Amino acid sequence: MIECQKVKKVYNLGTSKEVVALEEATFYIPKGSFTLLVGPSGSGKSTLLALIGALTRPTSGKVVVDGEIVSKLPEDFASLYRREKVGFIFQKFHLLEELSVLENVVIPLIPTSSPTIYKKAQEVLKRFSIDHKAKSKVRKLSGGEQQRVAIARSLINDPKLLLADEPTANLDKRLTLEFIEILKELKGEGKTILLATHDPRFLELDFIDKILEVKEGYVIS
Amino acid sequence: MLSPEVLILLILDGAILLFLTLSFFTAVLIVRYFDFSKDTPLQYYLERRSYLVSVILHLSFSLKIPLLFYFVYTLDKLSNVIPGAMCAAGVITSNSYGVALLAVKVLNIYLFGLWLVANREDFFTKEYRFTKFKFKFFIFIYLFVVGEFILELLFFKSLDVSKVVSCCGVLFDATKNSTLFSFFLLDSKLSAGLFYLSFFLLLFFRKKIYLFSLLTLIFLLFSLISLIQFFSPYIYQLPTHHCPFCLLQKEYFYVGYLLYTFLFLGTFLGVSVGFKKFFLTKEDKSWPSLLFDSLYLLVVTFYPVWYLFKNGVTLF
Amino acid sequence: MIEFAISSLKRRFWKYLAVFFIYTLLIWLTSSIFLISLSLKKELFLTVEELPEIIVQKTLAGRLIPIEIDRVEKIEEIVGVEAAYPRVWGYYYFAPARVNFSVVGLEEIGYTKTLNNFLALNEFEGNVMVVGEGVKRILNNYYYKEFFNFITPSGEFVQVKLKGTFPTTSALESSDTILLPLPLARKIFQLPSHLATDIVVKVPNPKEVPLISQKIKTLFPDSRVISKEDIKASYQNLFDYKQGVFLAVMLGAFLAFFILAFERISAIGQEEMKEIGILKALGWQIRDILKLKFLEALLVVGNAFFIGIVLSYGYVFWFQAPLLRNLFSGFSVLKPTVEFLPVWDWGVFITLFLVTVPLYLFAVIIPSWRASVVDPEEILR
Repeated sequence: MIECQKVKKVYNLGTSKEVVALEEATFYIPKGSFTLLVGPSGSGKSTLLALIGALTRPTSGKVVVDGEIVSKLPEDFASLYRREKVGFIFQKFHLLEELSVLENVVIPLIPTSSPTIYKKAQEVLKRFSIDHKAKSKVRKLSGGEQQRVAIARSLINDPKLLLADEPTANLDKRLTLEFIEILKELKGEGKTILLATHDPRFLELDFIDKILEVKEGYVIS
Repeated sequence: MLSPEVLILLILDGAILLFLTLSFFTAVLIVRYFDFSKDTPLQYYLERRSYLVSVILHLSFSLKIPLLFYFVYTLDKLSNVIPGAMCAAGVITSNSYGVALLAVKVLNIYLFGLWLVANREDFFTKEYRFTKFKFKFFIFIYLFVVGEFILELLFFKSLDVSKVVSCCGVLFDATKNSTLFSFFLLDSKLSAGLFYLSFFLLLFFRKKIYLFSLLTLIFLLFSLISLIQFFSPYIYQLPTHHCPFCLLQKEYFYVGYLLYTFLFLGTFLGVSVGFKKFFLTKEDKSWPSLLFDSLYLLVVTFYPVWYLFKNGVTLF
Repeated sequence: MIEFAISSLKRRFWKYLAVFFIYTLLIWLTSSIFLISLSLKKELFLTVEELPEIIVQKTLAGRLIPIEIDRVEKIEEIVGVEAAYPRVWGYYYFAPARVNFSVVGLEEIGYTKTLNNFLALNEFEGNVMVVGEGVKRILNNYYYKEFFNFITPSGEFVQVKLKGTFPTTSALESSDTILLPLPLARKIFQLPSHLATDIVVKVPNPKEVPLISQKIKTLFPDSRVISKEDIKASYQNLFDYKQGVFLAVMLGAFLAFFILAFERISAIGQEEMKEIGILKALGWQIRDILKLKFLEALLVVGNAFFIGIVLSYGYVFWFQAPLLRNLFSGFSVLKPTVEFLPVWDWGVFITLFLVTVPLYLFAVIIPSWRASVVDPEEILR
């Protein structure tokens, strides 16, 4: 599913502020697997997620996702790739606070201007039992509810790949456990999941297929 | 001449020129430094600038088309204050820049259109294949835009309200070999014949894309000549009235807008298929072009046929 | 997309409010002034329409002087001329109020329809006059209720009875006018009976006007021949010029505004930056963001345009343009009764549209583009 070949990322290349964020990394993540990305913050986990999600391009090397070379895509194609294949869950959820739950969830589908997007959104909300709050503003929800909205939004385009960046950093224990349950369920549906975290609790999970450790830019399988 | 219309034309064309100048610098940078295999901040910057140019061109293009009609409208309005002029034709020939200005204006719309075609193709390739090409092409277009603006300034500056000019009746009068338009003065029937002939050639060579594009240009030329020489008298129902501008007026149900839309759209598509094949290595069908060419032909043919049907005689 | 654009605007209501408000104001102002001048122009043209086809004046050393009446007959002999009349008219300076009245002497048959209708209904002989509303008001201010004393060039007084005011069809034309019987007008101006101010010529077929003008000019080389078309052209020119100058001034205001709009919109706050980053990370393309931004801009400018135009219509034709009308009235003393006649001219609206909407879109190009290329990677940090 995800194949990285000698992927290296240097920020501000060719300027005086050059920073090496990721040294040549080579690894493979099979389809339908659950992979953990661990390491201290600032070690290059986010860069790796950004490269796999085609939010940026590598300085050298190649990233192939689902048979598509995503490391060499013009920006608009990268967006298209994300829209069609990737679901993102961010550390701070990154929901638009002034919008309603429903409006937040449809965002990834608005550019498709398909007439069924609100129907789809309702379905996803129902699945995570947050549909009763569809009209409320995100700002007024509790942390747990916000998280479920974020998950619903990441799944509305039915992605093959789910990328999560420190999704539980702001959650208490109960909500983290709830989140883990959902992950398990999603893995059961055959989604490929890549989760970056420094929360040691994840290491104990029984359905982990692979652990990638990132340390000062180096990836160790 | 300082009428509000002239002022607005100059301001809008000036604004377009300003933004295109901005784009011009981007174009030079891109032609020199664009390299998609690189991961440098400069490369990201250039890719993003490329979008800016694309937005500017889109907006300029969609503004240029109404502005062309507005230009003709302005000339029509100015014909009230310029002695002797009865419509835009008199104003435009009142000094030596007018005809060239109008020609460049039309040409630039074609060029903008072709650029947008190239831009579209470029954004549909996953490797920015035509980016360098389209910016080289842009630099070429930019020269014409500057030329247009200079011509426009000169044209409006040299409009003289005290000079008596000719009305369109005189300008297009075949018997008085008098004006700039003498080039257009083929015999009426001959011009119509060449018009139909070039259309059938188009139809015949519709599969040979390069030839088709070339023939489209010839078709455009004969369309304009025959419109002036043969068809317009039928539209005006007056054997001596040969003006290509009065068509746009209310008295003739604004039929000019329809005619010119069909003609320019058809010929643009015709040129664009050749352009696409040559520069963008993309094969397109010629039928959309032929469709609009045919629509033009049908509308324009309707007039003499109707005249014959009603009066039982022809004008020529 | 449009719903999202609306909600996006709502969320930044205060940011756009100032832009929207000032823009509406500018459009309203420009449109009002265009409408007033258009309405005045329409009124003037109505007046011009009533004029005879040709006016013949005599010049000496480049100045206008009275013309011999015997030329009337010679002009009438020209083929295509229906009739020619001598006219006696001029300006009378009323020193106390520092205004000029137009004094027009009338024969039994006038040369305009309005005057003919009026004469048919009234007896009009001896030392009487009929005045426009404006004149009457001024005379009343100086306590001339029943009569008025004209002073002739040689200093004699001529007492003229004020018989009434005449109806106004077109206020511009007549409000400052005094109508007198022809002999009385001659007496006041001390114009000898073989002379007239000018000669007007009626030509039924407008296509013959240029040729007849030419013939008159050849017949009397010292004459100045003005046709109705000439007058229209010069009015058109004058109005175009005035509007042009005005527009040039307005453009200063617009420019200032565009800088404001540019400032406002290009000041993409942290919040908005983050929002666009999120949209892009979630699969929005650059062109989608651009579409969104231009939709927002169109919503702002479209509504401002529409509301501005509607407001200016109400202001000019419903409320008769309080305050602004003073700007236009060099004739404010004498012509307070000008009623703006409603006009609708597509050309003017297209002109207004072109000067406001595309320039706004140009002003937002760069800010929108800057928003659209926000780096989506930022939000991961």
